[in-house]
Amino acid sequence: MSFWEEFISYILRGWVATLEILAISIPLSILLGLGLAVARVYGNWFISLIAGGFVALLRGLPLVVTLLIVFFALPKLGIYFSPFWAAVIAFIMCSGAYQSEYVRGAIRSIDVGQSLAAQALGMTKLQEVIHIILPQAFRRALPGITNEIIYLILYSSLAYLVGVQELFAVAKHFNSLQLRPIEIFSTTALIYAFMATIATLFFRKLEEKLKIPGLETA
Amino acid sequence: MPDDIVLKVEDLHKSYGNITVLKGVSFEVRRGETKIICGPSGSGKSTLLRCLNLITRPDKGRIWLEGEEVTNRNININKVRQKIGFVFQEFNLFNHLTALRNVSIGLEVVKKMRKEEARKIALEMLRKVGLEEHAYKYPAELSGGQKQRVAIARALAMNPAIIFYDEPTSALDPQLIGEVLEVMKALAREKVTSIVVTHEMGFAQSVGDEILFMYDGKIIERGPPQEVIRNPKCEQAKRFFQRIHELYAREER
Amino acid sequence: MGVYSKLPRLMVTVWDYLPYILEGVWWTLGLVAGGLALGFIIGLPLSIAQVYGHRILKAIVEVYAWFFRSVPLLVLLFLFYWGVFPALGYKLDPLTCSILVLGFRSGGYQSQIFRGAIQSIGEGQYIAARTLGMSKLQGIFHIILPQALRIAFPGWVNEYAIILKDSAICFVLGVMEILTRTRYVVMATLEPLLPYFIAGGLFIALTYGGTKLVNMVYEKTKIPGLIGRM
Repeated sequence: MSFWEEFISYILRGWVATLEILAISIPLSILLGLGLAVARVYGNWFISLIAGGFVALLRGLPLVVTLLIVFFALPKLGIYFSPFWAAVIAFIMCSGAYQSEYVRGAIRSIDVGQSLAAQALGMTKLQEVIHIILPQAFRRALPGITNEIIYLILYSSLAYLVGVQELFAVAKHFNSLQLRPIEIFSTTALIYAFMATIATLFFRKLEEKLKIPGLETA
Repeated sequence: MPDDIVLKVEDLHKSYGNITVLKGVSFEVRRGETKIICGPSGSGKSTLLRCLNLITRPDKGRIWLEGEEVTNRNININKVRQKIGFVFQEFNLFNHLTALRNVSIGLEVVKKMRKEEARKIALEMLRKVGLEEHAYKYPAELSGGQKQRVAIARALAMNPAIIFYDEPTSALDPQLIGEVLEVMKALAREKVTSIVVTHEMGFAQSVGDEILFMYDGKIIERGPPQEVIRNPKCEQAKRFFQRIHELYAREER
Repeated sequence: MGVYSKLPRLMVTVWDYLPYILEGVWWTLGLVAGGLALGFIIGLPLSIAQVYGHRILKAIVEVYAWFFRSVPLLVLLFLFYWGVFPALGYKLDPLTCSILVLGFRSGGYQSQIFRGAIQSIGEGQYIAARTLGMSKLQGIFHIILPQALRIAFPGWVNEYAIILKDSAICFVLGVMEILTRTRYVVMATLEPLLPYFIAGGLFIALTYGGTKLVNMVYEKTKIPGLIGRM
């Protein structure tokens, strides 16, 4: 086999692992982001404090450090995760925290009249948040959320640090065997760029589909 | 309470800090009545309406809706609000929903109707306010007058016992006020019970059953619109109606 | 590195290794300062080129920005350290290479921050400047830039926070910053909890402390009407 053939077949396995990480992390981080934002805006002082503290913590720590803590330090407290799950959990927590800021900002940017009208119809707070507030807030937060998803795709490479055999880990290993760093790492770079670009296009399309006239950023 | 009293308000008080906005307001609204409330700004009109559907809680006083005491702490406020329609000055249409869905969402989510049924009723309501062809437009695509008519349809769809209009035409361009007033007049003629906070005196005289003039947190004059507007008895009312007359010059629109 | 020989004997309690980790703060700050500065030197001209340059220049900038914003830092570090720089004949130490990579990458991000700021100023100002007789360059330098820099400030502060956190990734090249030292301590003492929490605490302090400090300075020198956006 030529270098490239070997390389491609090798790298594909790593790519699949990356996609697995992303398939779980992306949706769950969005959910966490929504949940944290709702907790901070609508929760009582205690819930709001916990959620706020969580977000401040996860945004102040570098993702690397969070990841290493989850995988190396938590076992000392009795909490064990496999490399894959340590990575996924760290990614979800960190990205979710960042996303919650966008959603929270979006919720607060919604005119109070929308709430008043929902209440006047007799909706409970829960109904109001689910049917009236979140549909609008999500659309407004989408550009920010897209941004964070792109970061997630790129930072998934950090999973290598805890031993997950994802795209970067595989490339690095292959490089230690074949020693052609320029070809190997630039191809890897382009694969990530490809994923990031596809994701950007996808979310832009999503924004278009969900677009409602008059609902643009405040 | 006699069967035809839809709303009874007794001695309502409300303060914000040391500013007392409502100083003991009492009145009744009969079924089919169109009650007009007017007065200079600061008289407490908007606060009064917001107390009536408990968006704001009054400090003192009691409110009964169809015999049920609304101010009682044990009441399910959401159930009560279903019986009150509210039309806001700033429309407050749900920006992410089409006109049709704006009208039907209350039915679907609050009254738990099936989508089909809710949709039918919503279309009917839009037809009533003359907007069926705009059913699938979003609020941003409608004019102010159209938005307000959708808001009225949204309130009507819930089949409320009474509708509150909080200065419904104040945020509209002059050319658009007419279409909204026409709808409101038609509803008044159909004997839809309502309270209208407004300074459209032409409207008040043409379909109002009683007008309440508020000043400094109290109702200081009341009576049939023709009488009160043309022959106000107290000083403040005289001054107010004089100003309105100067500003609007015409009585019928 | 003589680190290994020192560690087992001396680093028994936290008071022994705390200074060691704290020394890393200087290196971290060095990475951040270097990366931010280089990013600024690259990003500002790029943003001007993107807004005022002709099509080809604009395209080049856009490709540069796209590349450095679409490739993970980890990959960039390895690509440049083991690939590009050696190929060009340079034998760089980890610190310099890290600063360069952080700088190139930040340049890509900062170019977009400044571009947004410039574009938000609105044509009117630029046209007014030209009408006065200023050349393109004078208009940009005297009228647009002063405003753009102020508008871009919050975004720039955000960039500081990002580079600060990304600097930790440079431990893979062995730069003696906070995380590298923390990992050595953990490997030596086999006690991961406290060292990692210390590292975490340091990063949080630097992130929030730094942004607070910078924002205080910004408040003092604000011009009414020129509000920044993130």
